[in-house]
Amino acid sequence: MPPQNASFRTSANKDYLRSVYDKKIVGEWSKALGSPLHYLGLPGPEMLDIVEWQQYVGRFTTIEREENEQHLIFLRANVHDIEHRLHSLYGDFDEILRTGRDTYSHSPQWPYELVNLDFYGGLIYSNLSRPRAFEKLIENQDNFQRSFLLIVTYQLRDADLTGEKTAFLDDLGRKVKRDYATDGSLKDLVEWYKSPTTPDAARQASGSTADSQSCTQEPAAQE
Amino acid sequence: MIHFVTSFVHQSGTHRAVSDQSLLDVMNLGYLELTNQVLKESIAFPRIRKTE
Repeated sequence: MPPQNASFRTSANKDYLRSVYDKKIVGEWSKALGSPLHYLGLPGPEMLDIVEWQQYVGRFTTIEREENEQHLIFLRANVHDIEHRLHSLYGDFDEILRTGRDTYSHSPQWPYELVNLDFYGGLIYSNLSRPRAFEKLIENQDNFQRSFLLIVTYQLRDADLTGEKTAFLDDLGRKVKRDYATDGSLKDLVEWYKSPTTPDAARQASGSTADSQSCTQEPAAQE
Repeated sequence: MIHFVTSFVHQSGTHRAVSDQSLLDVMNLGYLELTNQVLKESIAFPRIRKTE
């Protein structure tokens, strides 16, 4: 998993995804549902997504692993006068989903219409805690029969210490070869992800796109 | 970076995942990013529908 002291940093491409790409989709989703969206996510202390989408978001639940960053969330919410809509949880996302409680025994306020999970790290770890957390998320939403929009951002090549991601890419490559034999672009793309020369970059701490060369010097997050 | 957007539409006791993003769309983001291409010129918007 990413180091506990890892902090969220945005990038030019992430800014674009949040402020243009996702914002359009979130707006359409809010319009389709006909109401402000109840949000659950990992916004980071600056809450860039919530601030950007605040016209579409009603109440929102944030999850932070660092206590000082939770304090920054309260401060940020206060500055933007949305503190009254904030429900803050403290702890690990996977663990909160699994147990239904945060470090202080507070629970998420199910159901949600918008879930934005911007992970600092990968999606699949050897203990499968994250896929299980996703399963629990969908199960909880299902209990309320509520449709929701799920936005997920993560790093595929995040410290593959046990080879599980390589195995996944091997399997994906075989299926691509089987199902898309005439289209070489997907095969090339999978090979690019597998290549040891591809830097563990594009992670959230990598800074702007222009800084991508420096990504090769970022220490790989440890599981 | 992998970034995907999926709507889970509740229908008749189950959730149906709906996304217009193809596998190539999703996996291509990391490639575009690391080859210093600007995403806004390179990615298509998926359509979002409450029901399918």
